[in-house]
Amino acid sequence: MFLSLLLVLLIGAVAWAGSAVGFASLFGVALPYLALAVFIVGMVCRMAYWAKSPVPFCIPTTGGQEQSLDFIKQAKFDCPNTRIGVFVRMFLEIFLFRSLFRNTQADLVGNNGTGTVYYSSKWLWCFALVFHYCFLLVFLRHFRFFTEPVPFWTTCLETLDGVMQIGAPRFFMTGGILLAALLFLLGRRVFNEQLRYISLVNDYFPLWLLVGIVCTGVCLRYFDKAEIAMVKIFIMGITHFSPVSPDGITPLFFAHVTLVSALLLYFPFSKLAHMGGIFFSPTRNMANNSRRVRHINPWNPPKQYFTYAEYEDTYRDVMAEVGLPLEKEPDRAAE
Amino acid sequence: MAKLPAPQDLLASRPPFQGEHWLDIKPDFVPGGFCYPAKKETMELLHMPNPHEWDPAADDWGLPENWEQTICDAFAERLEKHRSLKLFMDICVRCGACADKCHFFLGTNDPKNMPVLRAELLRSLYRRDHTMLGKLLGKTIGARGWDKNVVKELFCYAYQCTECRRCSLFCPYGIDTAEITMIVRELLHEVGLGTHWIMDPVKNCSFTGNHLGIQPHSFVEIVEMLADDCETVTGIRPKTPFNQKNAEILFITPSGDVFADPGIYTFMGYLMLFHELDLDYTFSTYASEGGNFGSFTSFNMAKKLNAKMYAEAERLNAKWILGGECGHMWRVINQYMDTYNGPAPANMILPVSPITGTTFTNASSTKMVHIAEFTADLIHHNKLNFDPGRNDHIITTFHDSCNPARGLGLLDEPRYVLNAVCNNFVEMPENTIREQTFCCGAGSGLNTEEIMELRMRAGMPRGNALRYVQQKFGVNHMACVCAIDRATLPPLANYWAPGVTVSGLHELVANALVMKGEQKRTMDLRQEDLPGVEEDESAAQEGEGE
Amino acid sequence: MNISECFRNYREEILYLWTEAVYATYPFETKGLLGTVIDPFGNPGGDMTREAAQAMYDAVAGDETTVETVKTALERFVKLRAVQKGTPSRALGVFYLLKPIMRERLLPLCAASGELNGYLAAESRLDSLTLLAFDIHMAARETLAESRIMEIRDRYAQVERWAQTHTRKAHLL
Repeated sequence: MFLSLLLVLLIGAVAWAGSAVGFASLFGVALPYLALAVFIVGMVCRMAYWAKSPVPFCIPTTGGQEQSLDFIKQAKFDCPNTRIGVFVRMFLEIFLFRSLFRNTQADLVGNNGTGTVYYSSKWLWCFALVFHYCFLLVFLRHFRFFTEPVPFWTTCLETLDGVMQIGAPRFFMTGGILLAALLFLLGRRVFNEQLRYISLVNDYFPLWLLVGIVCTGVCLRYFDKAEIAMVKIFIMGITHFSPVSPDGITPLFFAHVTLVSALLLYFPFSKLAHMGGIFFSPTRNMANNSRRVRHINPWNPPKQYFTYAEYEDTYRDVMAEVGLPLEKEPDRAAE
Repeated sequence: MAKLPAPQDLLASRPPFQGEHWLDIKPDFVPGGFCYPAKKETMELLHMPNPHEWDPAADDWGLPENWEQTICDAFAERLEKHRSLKLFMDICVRCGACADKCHFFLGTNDPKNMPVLRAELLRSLYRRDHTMLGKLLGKTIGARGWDKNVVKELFCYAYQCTECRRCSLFCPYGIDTAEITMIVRELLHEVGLGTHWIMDPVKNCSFTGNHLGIQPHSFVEIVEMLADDCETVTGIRPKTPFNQKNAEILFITPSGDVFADPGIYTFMGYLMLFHELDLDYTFSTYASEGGNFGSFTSFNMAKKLNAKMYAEAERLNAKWILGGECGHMWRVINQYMDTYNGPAPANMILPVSPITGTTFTNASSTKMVHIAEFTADLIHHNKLNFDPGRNDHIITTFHDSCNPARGLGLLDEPRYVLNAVCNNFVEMPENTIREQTFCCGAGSGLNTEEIMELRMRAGMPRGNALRYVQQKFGVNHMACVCAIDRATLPPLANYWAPGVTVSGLHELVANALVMKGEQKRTMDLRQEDLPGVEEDESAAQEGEGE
Repeated sequence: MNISECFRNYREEILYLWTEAVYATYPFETKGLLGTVIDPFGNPGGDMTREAAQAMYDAVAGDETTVETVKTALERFVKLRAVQKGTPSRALGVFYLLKPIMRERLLPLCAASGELNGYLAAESRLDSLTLLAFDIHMAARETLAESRIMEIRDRYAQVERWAQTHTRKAHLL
């Protein structure tokens, strides 16, 4: 855990110091280009790598009643048998984390546990959802730097996000919530023994990296305020492939950009690839219709089995003894 | 001389936190915790690679010379063949949602029985050979190489997983440990490591058609013996058609139900039901095993055993196949059969119930119908006369078997049937039934007696829920739709909730079934006296009057 | 403070200490679940331990109870320990983990109020309770052995019956 924290701090510090002593274009221009290229190529390759292996069998995990008789109610989305059902299942999975939501816990109430209540143990679901959505919103909000004119929806988001009207510049809730959610996810790994045991550097590193990104981002907005106008010109330069001089922008900005670049670089090679992977998951994206539609396995080996003829040859006499119908009668088979 | 230690010192405490990283902890093999190895002859007969004698408790497992290369190549090959494997190796974020969902973990408290860590055992090997970061950074990011202890560890934990898929239900990415376990077992079979209780039935199913290797004439005679028992109970001797050509329906059920108590009563239930319906059906001695022990070995072995079903349906010119109550048999039929050995032979048609005329469109390609679907349909169309009062002496609950629940989605059909044939049906707690059902703790080839201890601790969550309804609602019976359950739940119930009996669904159906021309029932299928027979009779008359 | 008050006042604290001591016999990484999740079906191990702890403490404290009640309350817990890895002493020794806790918390108070005999009687009740647990443990192991035999017998039940009728037929011929 500390190793990954140190690593993140190191990346940040190098970028900060580097840009302070004049390598700003390296961290602000070259690195983001590289990172973005690696991210896109990496993710495409990773998905191609997955897609290259076939799905030999139809193995959805059925999470409810199958479609069978007309008087039995099917769980259309937990056990879909149509494309629409699968689409809804995937939608619920991706946008609402359906499977994490399943965590229910029972508790006995009353004397000697005469009643049972079920309540949901949804902390993980809640914070995971909050984290992913805030991350998305923060990402979308950043479009104000990438686009000119600033799209209408970005402005709307900002207004909504700052609806609390605290402080100046106005406090964006998503940033704060994102940080809180990240700290929760990190705290789980540290304080829950079970999770601490299964956690690897690869689990802490992206969390710390994201914490680093959020912290630098928050600082840029509220404390070590960056010259927004200059930053925008700089970023527009990058997006139009005609980089301008980074002079005059605070080094912290480059630390922020470098951490984001590190995330992009790390992304395709790590568990973060789950972003793309979820779409490929055969236990979720297949319809439970394998008795209705034949699923084809491209490497299906030839059939090889103990045939009836061999079977009858082995047991003909005893089969005749109990009067089982035979293909060849014992005396004829001997000929 | 040292003094005898105080009790608290005798209880050697656990090592301090992360005393050793999990990658370094070696598995230990104590009796009661591991399955016996497969016999060399069995493995040779089945043409399994590298057959050899070995002992799990020994230091040296006699792995072949080039074992590492063999496994690595086999692993790489599986990655190319299964997208699921590649994906599951890559995208786990170790969120821990699955950790406490595994019955093995709940029963053993062994951290490596958390599904995430069980998969991580293989993932650590994947990282070294198949990921860039793993190649560069090695152990820092949880990558490791193969050594003989790793093989032992994989064996230890691949046979502490019943492929029940409960973890997969809760995983946000649908990572299915069953898939990983199946592939680990395949890898282990590549170097000649198999277990007796899986490979022996595989051999028997392959060459004689049933898991005990009983020859066809004896098989037929045992079934006839069961038909005689039906006569003792009802006064009617059901027919036992075998290997009949041109029958409309080929009926296939696990052979365990022909040999083992209490499965035989379910089998007698089938005989009585089919007789009452005057169904045009046949058994086959050749394809007499529905259960597929091959599916605990490798995909190819499963295919090989499964091939007999369609081959026999073709030879006998049957129109469709009706499948009995079984767990993994139905996982194979629903998710693998058509892919393995399909398309169904040309003589087979879309299954239609000859009694009700219902078309089973959900089985239009596989042409194989689950008996619970078949019976539920009969009941819905009022084709059967029941006297549920005959089951009044039991208060039953229903155990969803993992495979029908999470690999098929068969949840409400058996309940529909159960409600029609029993007056007292109580559900176990919500998070232990339906798609969240807890495994019996001994599926996927672990239902062998040498690991009874392991089975009792793995089945503890199920036993615990059963005990709860036993104490709270007086439940004294558990119905299920799986032959392995019928074999494994009686000892489990006897341990965790003594006094609860176990039966298949169709045993209860046959108990309640009022057959045309039957004698007054004074006993149930187990030939135990029915309590309050007098009252039953008047209730039955009322039932017929309706 | 008389002795029953003593026991009552320290009930929650001692129960907590004892269950923690029991969880400490499991690998550290799994303690989190056992100790924190209260779902009796999602965390049956923890639920069993808590049920046993309460019954044990009340019995030791000298509350009115019967052997049967205590046995029923201890049953699940002892049965679980009986099939988990480890020696019988390890499985049952957990009950004696209560002694050092009681000696630390309750003994000084009892001694101060001149209730030493009462305290010793409580410890003796703990000994009886462990003996009861030993009975359950042994019965559980017997059940286990019996299940092994029963299972093999049941598996071949019909084959055996067939073989018997077959021999009879052979004799008649």
